[in-house]
Amino acid sequence: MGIIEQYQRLGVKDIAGHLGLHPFDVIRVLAARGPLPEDLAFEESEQERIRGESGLEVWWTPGRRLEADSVHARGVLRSMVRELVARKIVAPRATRVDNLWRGLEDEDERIARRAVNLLLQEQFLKTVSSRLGIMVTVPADKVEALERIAAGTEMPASLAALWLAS
Amino acid sequence: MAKKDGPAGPRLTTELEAIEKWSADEQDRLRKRLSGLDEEEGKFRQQLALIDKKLQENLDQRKKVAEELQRIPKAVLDRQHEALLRSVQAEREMVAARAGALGALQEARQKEIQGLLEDPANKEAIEEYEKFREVEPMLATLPGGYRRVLLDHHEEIKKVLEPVFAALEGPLPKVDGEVVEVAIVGSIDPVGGVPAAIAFVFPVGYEVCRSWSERPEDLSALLAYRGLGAICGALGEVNAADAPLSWRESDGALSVEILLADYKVGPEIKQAMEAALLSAYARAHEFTAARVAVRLFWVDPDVLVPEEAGDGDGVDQPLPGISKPVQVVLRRGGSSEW
Repeated sequence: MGIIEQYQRLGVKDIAGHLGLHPFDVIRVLAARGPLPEDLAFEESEQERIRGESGLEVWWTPGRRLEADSVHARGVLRSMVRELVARKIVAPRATRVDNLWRGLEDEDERIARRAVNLLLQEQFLKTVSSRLGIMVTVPADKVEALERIAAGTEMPASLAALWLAS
Repeated sequence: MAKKDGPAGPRLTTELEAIEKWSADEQDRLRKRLSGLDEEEGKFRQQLALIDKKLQENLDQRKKVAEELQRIPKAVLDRQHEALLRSVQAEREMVAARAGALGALQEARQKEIQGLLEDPANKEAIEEYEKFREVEPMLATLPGGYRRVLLDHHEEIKKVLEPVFAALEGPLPKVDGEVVEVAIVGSIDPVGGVPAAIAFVFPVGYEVCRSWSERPEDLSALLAYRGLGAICGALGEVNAADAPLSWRESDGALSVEILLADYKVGPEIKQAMEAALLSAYARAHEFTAARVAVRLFWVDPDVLVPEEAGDGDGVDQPLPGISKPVQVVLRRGGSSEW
């Protein structure tokens, strides 16, 4: 390691901030490799390694548009469901729960978090525990219903709480 | 009896009179005796009433004392819980104090390194050192003489930079003061003799989790990181690496909970956790420098979470298909710490 690299080593907090993860999530990734190093300071290249190992994905890159909908929260929900279906996050395949909203604007992220709660309660989504944290997956028998939700042709009344409450 | 005239009269009269007198006397005596006995009976009855009252009072008191006696185990748990809260709070402050002291030393070290890096004499050497690193893979292609000259020069550069390397790679300076001991409080909740859940309360404030982006990555944060890393490692050792793990606030402190209900984990988890946690802190440079020794202290689950202090998990209906930590999150209206 070069002198400057060594001087500029990153802490867990720096890596978490850059990747949009919680530091505890970074620790879980590191712990999956074995005991933590004696010094929790890392080279910059470590960031990309952790990104890969964590299963982190950015679904909402700048410019990626949400579904046009006369009700904004419904548009966020439909967009998220569309991504879940398009990315084939169907059991047994799962994705980090925070992938569902990573990259969204703050307000849309809040809506997305509430939407995930509702989808879980209505069993359109299921949680899967993993060494990297909470993952979610779509039960196979819910895929068609979610496709209709994404297309806007069907909207269960239970999910309307998302925009009726706000 | 009517009197009769005649010679036998006076004697009989006398006897009859004597009998009457005896009768009167006896009646008088017996009435007095009866009266005395009645009086005594009254006294006895008063005493009995008093005793009865005292007996009732005794019974009432006995009931109260028996109830108090029954409450002792709960009172012990409550007192132990209160003691635990006070201890965790005090140790949070100790860790925070050491975090401040270590932070000051780290800052001084950073300034020292900054000064060394900006020193013109070192700057040139650093530049050469970094350039050498770039061309080092090509050295093998050079003729031996050239390679020797370059390597010799590199050694000289390294000598010049020795103080820089010493500052960069040397151990952190140790804070002043005695070694302080702090405890992570752990508790295993068994169901049918098998560990179903484990909880740990760390001697750090929950803000290391909630406000991580707004606060320095100090000793308190590192204590949490190391602990979490060790817990994950121990779970892996007992084939429960995927067990649901969540963190939450416990009376202001950071608490980490693991649900093991779906994993075949035996009592060996306790040993695995102990070994992993103690080793994690023993090998961490920052805890050596801060002179903080971390130990693990096991308590009964009721000490960690008294019945009435629970978050009502048992009251709410479980949501189907959703793990318990997530249910907790859902009931709280979502979380930024998913």
